[in-house]
Amino acid sequence: MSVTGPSDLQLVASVVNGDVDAFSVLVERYRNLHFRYAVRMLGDHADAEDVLQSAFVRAYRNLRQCKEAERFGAWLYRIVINECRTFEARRGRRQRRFVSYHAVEPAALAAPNGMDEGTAEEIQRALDLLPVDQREAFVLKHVEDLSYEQMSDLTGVGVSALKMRVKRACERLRSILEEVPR
Amino acid sequence: MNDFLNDSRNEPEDEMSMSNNWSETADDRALIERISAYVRAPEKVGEDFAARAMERIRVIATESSQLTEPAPVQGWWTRPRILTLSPLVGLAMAASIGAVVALGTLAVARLTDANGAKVAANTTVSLPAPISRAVDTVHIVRFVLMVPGAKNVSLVGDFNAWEKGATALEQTGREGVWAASVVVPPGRHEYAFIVDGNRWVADPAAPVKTDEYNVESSIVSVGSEASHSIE
Repeated sequence: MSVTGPSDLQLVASVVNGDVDAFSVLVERYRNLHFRYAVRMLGDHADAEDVLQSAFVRAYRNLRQCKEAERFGAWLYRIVINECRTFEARRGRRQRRFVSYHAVEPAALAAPNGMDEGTAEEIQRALDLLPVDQREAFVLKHVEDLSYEQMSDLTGVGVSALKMRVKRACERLRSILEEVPR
Repeated sequence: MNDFLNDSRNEPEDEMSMSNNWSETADDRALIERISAYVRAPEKVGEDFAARAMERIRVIATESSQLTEPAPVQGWWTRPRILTLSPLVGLAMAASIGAVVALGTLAVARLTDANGAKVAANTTVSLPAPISRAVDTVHIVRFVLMVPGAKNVSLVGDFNAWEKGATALEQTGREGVWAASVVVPPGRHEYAFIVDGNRWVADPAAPVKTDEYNVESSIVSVGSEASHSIE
């Protein structure tokens, strides 16, 4: 990611030294970078924004613990991943998985150009039906296009386990989507 | 409970060997191609996202002065302070630490509840710096959970980014009693225990906060007011 203006290291140092407004530059810089990950994990834009807000707040509170300030984005990414995990655990998302998606507002699952809303909804529903660890691994690998080593560094999970989770996620997604007529 | 709390350590050996042979199949590629238009489409937050985030952060900055104190980026705890202790004082400190931990352990035996997850207090000890190193005050919180029959217990909280694997409790000498001593920065923190990888347990001996989904977390306040407190 190319960055203009002060570096992450400079901004973090400024915030730690009392310049709260310097943190707004970091928010602007990274606000969209991990948002897609949160949307795919949680299946809802409003929830994803709430989680991302919480992630930035946690990052601010714990900024002195950021040991590699020049890699603030990666450190923030770990926080976003953990915030998504915590959100899932707290909401008991397993009970919500089977709620009819007709209740979801169209704006929550905006389809990209050329794809109808129904297809986008089906795909997100299929993602939502994955166990959280498989969904996390699949999104990091095939949505965010990370290497397994990068995924391992972010999640703390071994490469072999991540590969197995991606494999199982693919199999399960295929099974779910094959039940849906194209 | 959610599978996110499982990790590779729980996977059977045969599945681990399978993952070593995993490779992307033609069916996998076809699936990814089918869904990539949606899953890889960019997403953007609302226009007011940054403003709302900064509003929350400015409130935090106003309420807490700890982040506005000048400090090196590497960590506030490395700020040099000179502390001189005589050897006798050092020995007395070591003895008092042992007594506090022992008191915490004794408190475990006295507490009972009806739920089967008996919980002891967490013990906060604020220690002056060791003689050999000039550092600021270090706050160590001892988290204790009594849960008979548990196979593993971990601690999650805002001080370890709610990461399940970050802080594992260890069994003490007493049956069903798990504990960990954690360095916690000053301030108010939320935390909970994860029992056997899938059971979220708040600390009944600590103040509880209930979120909008009726999930409870525990609260611990660390600082000069909470020093040497045993609940």
